[in-house]
Amino acid sequence: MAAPSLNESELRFLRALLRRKVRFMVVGLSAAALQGAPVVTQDVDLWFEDLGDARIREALREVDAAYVPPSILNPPMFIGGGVELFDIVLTMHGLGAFPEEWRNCVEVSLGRHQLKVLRADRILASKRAANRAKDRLVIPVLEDSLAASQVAARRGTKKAAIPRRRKPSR
Amino acid sequence: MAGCCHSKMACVIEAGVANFDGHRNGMSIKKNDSRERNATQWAARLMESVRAVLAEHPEADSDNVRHTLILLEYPPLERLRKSLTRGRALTQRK
Repeated sequence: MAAPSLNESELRFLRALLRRKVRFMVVGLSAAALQGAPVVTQDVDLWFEDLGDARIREALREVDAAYVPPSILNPPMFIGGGVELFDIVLTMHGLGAFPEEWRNCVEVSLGRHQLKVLRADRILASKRAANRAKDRLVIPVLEDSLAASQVAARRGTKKAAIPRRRKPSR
Repeated sequence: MAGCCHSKMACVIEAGVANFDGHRNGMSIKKNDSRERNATQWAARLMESVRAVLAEHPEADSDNVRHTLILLEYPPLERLRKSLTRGRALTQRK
């Protein structure tokens, strides 16, 4: 049985942020996955321009969640309301300032709203700069995926429907 | 079993199995022929795209390229869904 992924609470939270025009973007491997990279991840990293933005609290309240500020024991977190999937990113290694990266984001449609997503080449740059063991593992996949996406975009890859298997007739 | 093909081999193998069953059960083989033809054409297009990428990036891993090209045929949220589903499935197995 397939496990659920982005559930209704998580989508509601993203929409609540977007409706309030909070400036944030999806970064990390989730952002890479949104752009076609064949990677696995357990969370969705969100980079906010200003974590002190009161509209973030409003969006959290809307979904019965709360913000837990960072301490010695824990990183900043969202708790409750089914939004624990989202991780808060405070700094992105190897990248420019938030406004600079914001300008070059790609957009993913989320109903009436557009979700900002860090561009694949910038994700790769951040992984190279962070250079942790887990980053080094995924860098070759991101490089190959970026190459494939760029060539496909240039060739204007035809969006042919993937053949689906039908239920056998009885 | 209902499902969908996500790779060249899966499509071709499933179509082949379906055809074999069709012959054995006396079902019309027309549908299966058409499915097999579509699957083969789709796979040929995919592999042509993979070759084009590898021609420019010979160092790239062909599986990474192929999986990316397949994922690009899905909407972005569906790509994320697949990525998260696998991540969570791994977590649950631990």
